[in-house]
Amino acid sequence: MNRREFLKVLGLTTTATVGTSCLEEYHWLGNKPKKIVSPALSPEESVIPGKAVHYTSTCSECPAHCGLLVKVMDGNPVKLEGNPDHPVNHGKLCLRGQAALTRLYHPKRVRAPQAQSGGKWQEITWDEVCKRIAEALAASQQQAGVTNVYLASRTTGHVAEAIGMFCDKLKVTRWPEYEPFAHAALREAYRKLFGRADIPAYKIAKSDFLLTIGADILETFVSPVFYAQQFASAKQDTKWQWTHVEPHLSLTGLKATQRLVAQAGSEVHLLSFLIRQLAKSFKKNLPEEVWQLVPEQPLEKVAALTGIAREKLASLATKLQTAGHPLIIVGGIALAHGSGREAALLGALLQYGLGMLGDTVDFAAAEDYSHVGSMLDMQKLNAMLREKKVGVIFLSRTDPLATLPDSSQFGENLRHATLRVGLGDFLDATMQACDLVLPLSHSLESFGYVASGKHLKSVVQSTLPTLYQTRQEDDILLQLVQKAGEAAASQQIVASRDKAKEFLKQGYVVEESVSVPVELNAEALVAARQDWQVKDTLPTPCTLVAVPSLRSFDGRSHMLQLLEEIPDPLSTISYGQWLSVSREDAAKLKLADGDVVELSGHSMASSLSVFTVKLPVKLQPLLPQGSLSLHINASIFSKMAFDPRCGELVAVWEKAEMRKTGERVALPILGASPYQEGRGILAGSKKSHHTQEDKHGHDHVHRDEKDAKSLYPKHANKDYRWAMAIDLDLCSGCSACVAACYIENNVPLTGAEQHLYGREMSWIRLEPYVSEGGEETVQTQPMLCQHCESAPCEPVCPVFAAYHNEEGLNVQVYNRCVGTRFCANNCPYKVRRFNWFGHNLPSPTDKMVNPDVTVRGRGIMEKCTFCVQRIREAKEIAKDENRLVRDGEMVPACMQTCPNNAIVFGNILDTNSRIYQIIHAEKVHRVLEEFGTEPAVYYLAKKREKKDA
Amino acid sequence: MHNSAHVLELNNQLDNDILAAMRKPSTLYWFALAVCLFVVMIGGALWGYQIVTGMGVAGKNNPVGWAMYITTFVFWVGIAHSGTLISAVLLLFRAKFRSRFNRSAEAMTIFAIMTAGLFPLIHMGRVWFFYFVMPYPNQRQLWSNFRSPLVWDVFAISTYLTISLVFFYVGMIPDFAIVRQRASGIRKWIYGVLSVGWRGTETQWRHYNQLCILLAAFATPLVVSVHSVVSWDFAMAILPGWHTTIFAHYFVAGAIFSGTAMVFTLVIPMRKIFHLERYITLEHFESLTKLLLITSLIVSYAYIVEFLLAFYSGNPFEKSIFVYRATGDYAGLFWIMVFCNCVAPLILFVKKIRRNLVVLFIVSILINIGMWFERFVIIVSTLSHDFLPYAWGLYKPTLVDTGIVIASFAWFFLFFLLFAKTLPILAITEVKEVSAKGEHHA
Repeated sequence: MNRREFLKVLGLTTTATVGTSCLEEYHWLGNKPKKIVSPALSPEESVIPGKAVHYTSTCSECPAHCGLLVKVMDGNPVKLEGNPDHPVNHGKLCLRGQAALTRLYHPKRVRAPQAQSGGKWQEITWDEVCKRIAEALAASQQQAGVTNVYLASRTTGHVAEAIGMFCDKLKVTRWPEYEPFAHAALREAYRKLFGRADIPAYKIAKSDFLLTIGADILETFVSPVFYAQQFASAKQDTKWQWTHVEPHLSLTGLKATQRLVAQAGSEVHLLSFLIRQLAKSFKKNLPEEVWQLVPEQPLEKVAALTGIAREKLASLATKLQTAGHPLIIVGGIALAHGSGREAALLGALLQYGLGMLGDTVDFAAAEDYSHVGSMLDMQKLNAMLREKKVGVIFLSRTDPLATLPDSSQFGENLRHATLRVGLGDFLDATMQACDLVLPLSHSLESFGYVASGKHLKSVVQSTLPTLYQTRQEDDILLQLVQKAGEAAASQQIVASRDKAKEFLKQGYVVEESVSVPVELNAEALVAARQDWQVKDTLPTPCTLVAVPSLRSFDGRSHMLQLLEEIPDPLSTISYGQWLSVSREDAAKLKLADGDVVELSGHSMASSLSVFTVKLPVKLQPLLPQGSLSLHINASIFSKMAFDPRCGELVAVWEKAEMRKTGERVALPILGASPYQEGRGILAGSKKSHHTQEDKHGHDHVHRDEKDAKSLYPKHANKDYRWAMAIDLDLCSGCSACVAACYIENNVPLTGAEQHLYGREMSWIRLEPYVSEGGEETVQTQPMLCQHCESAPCEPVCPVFAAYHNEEGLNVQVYNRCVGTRFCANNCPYKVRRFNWFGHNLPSPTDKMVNPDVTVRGRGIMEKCTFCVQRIREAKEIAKDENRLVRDGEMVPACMQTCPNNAIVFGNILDTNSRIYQIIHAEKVHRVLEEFGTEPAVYYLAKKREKKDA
Repeated sequence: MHNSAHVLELNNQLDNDILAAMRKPSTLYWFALAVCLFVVMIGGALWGYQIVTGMGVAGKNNPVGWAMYITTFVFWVGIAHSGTLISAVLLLFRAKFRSRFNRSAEAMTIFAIMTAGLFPLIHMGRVWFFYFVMPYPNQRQLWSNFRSPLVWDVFAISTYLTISLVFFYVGMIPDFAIVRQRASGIRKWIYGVLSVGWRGTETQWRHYNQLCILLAAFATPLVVSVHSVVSWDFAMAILPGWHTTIFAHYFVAGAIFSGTAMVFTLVIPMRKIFHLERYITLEHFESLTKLLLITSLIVSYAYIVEFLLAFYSGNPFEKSIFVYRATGDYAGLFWIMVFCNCVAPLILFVKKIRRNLVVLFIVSILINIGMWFERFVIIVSTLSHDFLPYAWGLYKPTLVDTGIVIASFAWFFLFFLLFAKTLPILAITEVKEVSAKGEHHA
């Protein structure tokens, strides 16, 4: 080959290489505008390295079923985001929803079917599984008086149909579904009064006055993201009022306009009082004999029983009376006691009387709870097991061993079944007690649909091939049905699942529904009045309440470490169990955080519910005196009883006592102090005299420019100056942003031991502070890198690893950092995180890594980047179109998921942007502004005063 | 006078006495050397473990990113201070007692800087990239950030080390010549090279004295600058309890205080072991004790000013940090510091005590302890209790960082032991000069 020829070949091959690579829409940072595809619809869509695709799906972490967009990169789902159009969550997810991804990649998932023999687990094949089940089913069908049982947790959609078909054809009794928090009293009340055993959709956004009694709508009640969205939109109207009544302290209560503390169990008196007060002016005319059924309670007595001041009670009645569209939600802790059934009935009656049904209480869009049973059904099952009347028992996605009381001896009785088949993803307590364990595919590996509401079908889409030898539940049932020779039934199962293909792209479908007017069945009330259990006992010195945790709900999410890594927003404790006590009670016993107490509780509802437990305490500001509260976990479940009348769990122990043991436990309390100490950290709080009070109000943005004195010239911004505004009035502390940030930015988990040292890695955290001045309250304030204009971290870095870029971002260059930690010392917000150790990612969690974000090694500093990878992506797209990034195109992970819409992000150089409008129109506050750091994170002060009456 | 036989004999005696220290070492010496070496090796192993595992093994955490390493760094830089002070400043002031202490003080300076210089490295998260801190030409045109006090540190410390080494060496040249005369074999050759042809002629002495004065004038500003720069590691930060203008003077005074105390800690046993009572007399000690006393008073004054400023300013952050120092989690250490640095040295007002070496030795040890705690209290209490109450947090030492700090002392003493056997421990010629002059006048 001579020189000319060589050059020719070289030129040609170069042209060919460059040319072909241009053909592909290759983008080194990932996706073009979100393209929603589905492997089922377009199987030819191959994996393009570095390119993100988004699949619609549905979250399976709790029964609310929020719509998802699953971001898949290089064949692996790396992030869950809400489906923006989905009617339940409108693009938002809670922290458990965000963490649902970690369940998929959890290293402890069961990877293949297993059989237990003599306490040892052995892997078996799926065929063998089917064989053994079929044999056992056949054997037990020959025995007289023995039933086969299928027990699942709440199931909707195609899996529910498959279970129905399977049970029908193979003569298995489909047991009422078991949910520890089944809202039994509430559904019972609706069934009795209106003939509807469902939970209606509460239209908060439609209301002008909201009264929630016990229902923690922003945390765990039914569909928290839906309610958070409703709350955010109701808040747009400054006249909207919300009163929350609770016996303890919840995030929900802290967001209400008015938080009333009522003695646990006394809600029923409050409701009776309201009905008697308002009955004459009811919109729906109630016959006098009906409301006469409600016991009359004089104001003074109600005030004494509930502990709510008289004038507050009176004003509450007036507010309900004058409201055009009032809404009352009774639920949660208000129903979890001996008089819970009565409270639910009265609540429903009040809803009817005040004309909420069909207005703010919507049964047409109700949650589908038709298959869900209660503790009473579990009691029946338990009795059958004890009497050896159960042959094969299937336990699907449920952990009764961890959630039923010890006194039921369910574990013992379960042994009497001839074959125990567990379906699930972890070897939890129940699965450990099974003979066969069938691993279920994660919803991201499954296909089909679920029903988010009665008329709302939501797609479940497989986003990757199964990681292990797992199967989706209906596939297992399908094989069993096929084996039994029921071809028609098996076709039906497949057909039902395939319905999902019709709405893959949108992700959901809303079916036409006819709204049936709801009528009151007054006779049911008369009947219920016969069995009225309400005690007129005055408040006891100490009451214990157990509430579901925001982080682990009914315990089903407890194995997801991310949810333990993120601290409880009120106590700021990450790992472990604790008892929250009020400051007054702690002072009485001279208790400090971490002191172990011996706690004993007696419930009035059930003599069974007596227990003692040893727990470390955490002092909780604002928790009412005499109120002890803890989060429900397996050890608490094991001590709980239920109301034998409606099957509602009893979570209130009216007579509680605690005794100091003298022992101490190191609790990972991440927030050292909840008090601002006169430092004016929260927006709208009083500062002590030295620090400048914001005299100029909202015009301080201009003041900066005038007063800025620096030896150095101001940073010049080119096109962008990114900034964030956080509305504290909307922020409830739900921690969804924290979870989203962990996953988006590959933030490592460090574990309980490191938390005790104070080595958490969160880039955004929620700091609960007690307000100063005015009525005492607690406000959670998200704290993240403030991207200061004059950032104290920048000049001290000896190597320019921390520097200011031309978009105003405070950038951290990981591979330049040598780890002197001077920047973290000098950061007044303490948001910089040092990698004290290397972090290993046990397989398969390495697949969850977001490829757009560097995984940091030991010895370097890291912090919030304002999701710089997303900024880059948005800018690349804009650059291709020869324009600037438009307002709203760039959404950081925290803002994307915030269920309360509290976060706004954008470019403040763009005077039309939302962020510019907000910080120039509203009263904004910047934390520690007096140091001249000029943060780019603006906190919006509370717009309204917390006032009574 | 120089010709008199008496003086010659006296000088000979002096040479013998001082150089006696350089004779064959005793078993005790070898034992001490072995212990130091062993502890240094343990320290090295701990450092290796820390590099491989991560900084987390050193007990620091999120608010408290600096702790014992930086404390010990500042401590050793402080120790290094008195060397220059005693050599250069006192030379310029023509303080005669200087000649009895300057050699040990200079040696101490050099070893202390060598020890101090290790700590910024030990402290670094990624020590394998330590050279990023230095400005070196590179194709990316990335320089170090000259706004960062840490970069100033690099220059301050390296300059100080260079000047101290030069000063130390120049001061020893005439002594090397004396040692050369008495040594034999390879040692003779080595000391010969080190003495760079010193013959003690008039011209050589004239040049030598000029050089000494020049170097002293050159080194004197460093006494102020080095520790000022170290103090700016803190004062340039915005943290309460650090961000204050008195830090430079306060740190310099503290450094002289601690350095002088260290001289006592080293010289009192040395005098005893090598029988130097004739050359280092109680009068000499008494003179140096006055320096200790005055710096103690300056340090105490600085402590008081710090508190007054914090309360007078009305700044809630400053106020809170000083209340915290005196009453918070580290209050015990704070009060130890006050006792050791402010209360204990007050007994030096009594002349009898200034001449009592046992008490002086104990006081010097107390001051060493107190000054170490001073730095610890400044660093750790501020970091653990700064702006946002949510982010407060405590630091607890671990085996690794405690071990490395202890090993740094072993490292320092290891070098000092080697020094005592290889180099003249007193400036022979200067002692001769001073004693000769003294005799003449008497």
